[in-house]
Amino acid sequence: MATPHAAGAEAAPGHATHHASAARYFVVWIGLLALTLTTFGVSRIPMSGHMHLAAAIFIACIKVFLVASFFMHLWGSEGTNKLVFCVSFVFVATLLFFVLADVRTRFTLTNSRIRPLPDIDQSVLQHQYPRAPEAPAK
Amino acid sequence: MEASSARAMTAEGYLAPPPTPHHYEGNPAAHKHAVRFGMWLFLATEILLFAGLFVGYATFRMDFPEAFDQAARHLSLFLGTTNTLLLLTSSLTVALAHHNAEHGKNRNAFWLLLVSIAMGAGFLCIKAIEYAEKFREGALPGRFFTFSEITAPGGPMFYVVYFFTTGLHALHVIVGMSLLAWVAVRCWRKEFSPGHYAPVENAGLYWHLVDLVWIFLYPLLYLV
Repeated sequence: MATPHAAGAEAAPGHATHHASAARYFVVWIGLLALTLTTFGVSRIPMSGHMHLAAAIFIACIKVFLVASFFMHLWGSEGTNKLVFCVSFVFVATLLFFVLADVRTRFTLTNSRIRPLPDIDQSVLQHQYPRAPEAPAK
Repeated sequence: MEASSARAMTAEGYLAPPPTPHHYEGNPAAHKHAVRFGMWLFLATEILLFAGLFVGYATFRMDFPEAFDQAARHLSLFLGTTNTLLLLTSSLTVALAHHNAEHGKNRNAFWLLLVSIAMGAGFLCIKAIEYAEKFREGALPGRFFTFSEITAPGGPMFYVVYFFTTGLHALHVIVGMSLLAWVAVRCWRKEFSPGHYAPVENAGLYWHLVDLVWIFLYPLLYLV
């Protein structure tokens, strides 16, 4: 079967960036190295743990943006590819948010790791339930 | 598959590309789009696979902040940073290989892929040195944990997270190196041309994803 493998394939719309010079890859690479040293340097500055975490994640996000946009050619790629990539991060954030919201708002009665249950102060039970549960069997 | 070994050369000196699936015949741009889109969908599933481990990290870090702080101080910053620089540089050479393959410079692409694979191997060697150190110290997950320098509760949980995240990542490095080797061989055979370079692009995308995961793992495990 003859394959009309036209050289015109590369003329597909939205791929103008594909044919830029290779120099920009080096620029992106230098940016990534600089950001790596920055994140290292920032982690040595005395700050609160939360600030360290926020700074590290912020810098990592910039690096991901650079790699995805230029090394992976997402910049100037078809919109569907951008959608898939961005939405996957939204899903990760959703998963993280709800799991952490759960973990952070746990209290004694919702914590499955606390054993044995009969050790729980019964006055706590009275407080947590509008209707007091049945008294434990003696 | 057998037919491919006997593929003819095109007038430009490339190995003739495999036939376009018939439903894309006459529309190579749509074929290219579909191939790339499929790869991005696969990468999204990879991102969500690692998301589970990052959620585990966040949960246990919240449960045991002190142990995570102590354990992070026992990782080698030098080795971790070196590995980060190695992986970022290998991403550069893979991007350059893609660029060369796209312009039909198969030999350049071959050498760049070879350098990338070598850097991947370097990454794994450094990882092995780190793992050996952890095994020697008894800085291990679960009940194998015998590391006396971490006094806060939760030390074994840090190493569960550490070994699972870096282990799964290392597995991806191995798979990525295999993919790069496979397309490198095809570069050597002068298979790629301006009209046909999707395998280099997709293997490269996989390699960049491995890099993306490490971009998050490095600060979270080693720095904060």
